[in-house]
Amino acid sequence: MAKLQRPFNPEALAPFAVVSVRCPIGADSLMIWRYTVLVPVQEELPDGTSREIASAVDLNRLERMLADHFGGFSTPNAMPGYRGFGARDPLLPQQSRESNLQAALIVYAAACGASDRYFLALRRELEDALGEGVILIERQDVTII
Amino acid sequence: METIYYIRIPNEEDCVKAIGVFLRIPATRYRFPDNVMGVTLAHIHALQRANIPFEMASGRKWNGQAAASVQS
Repeated sequence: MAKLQRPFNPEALAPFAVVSVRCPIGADSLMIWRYTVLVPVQEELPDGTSREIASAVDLNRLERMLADHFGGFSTPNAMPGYRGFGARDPLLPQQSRESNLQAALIVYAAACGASDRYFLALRRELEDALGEGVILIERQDVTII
Repeated sequence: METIYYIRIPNEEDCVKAIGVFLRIPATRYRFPDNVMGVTLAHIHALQRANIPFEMASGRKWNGQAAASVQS
C-alpha cells in the first residue's frame, strides 16, 4: 500500500544548493557529472486503473528549483515515456509487481561531493513527498569537449 | 536537428498547466530560470491548442552567453 503523499517542498533542498554544485561550462574540456532524476508520474495498477504520484504542481516546483540551482536542465525526447517495472516489496516480487510512468530530468552538475549531497537530499525529499519507497537518481561521468 | 524556440510562461498557474500538457509531448525540452523554456514546435502547438498563454523569449542570456550552452 502506498504511503501518504504531500506536496514536494523545494525549501528542503535550499541548504544543499551551494555555488560549487554548478558546473562551469566554458571554453575548456571539462569532466562533469550528469544526473538523471526519474520521477514517477503515474502508477499503473494490476486492475488496469492508474494512480497519480507526482502531480504537475510537484513537477513544476521541481523543475523551477533545478533551473534555479543549476542554471537549467533538459528532458529526454521520450518524456514521460520512461516505463519502470519492478516490485514494490522486494521480498514479495510476485505479489507486489507494478509498472510506473516516469518523467526524466537531466541535470549537468559539478563533479564534486556537494553535488552528490544535493541529489541524495533530493532523493530523500522526493521519497517523503511522493510516498515512494525508492526514487531512482542516476549519475554518469561526462566529459564536455 | 529540430529548431528550439525560447518561450517564457509568466503566470505560475499556466506553467503548471503547461507541464501537464508537455508530459504528452515526446520531444526534448529545456528549462531555465525565470520560467524560460527551450521547446520544439510540437510544444508550441500543444500550448496553443490548450490556450495556455506564453511569450517568445530571447535565446541569449543577459550576460551574452547562449542559454543552450548551460544545459543541453
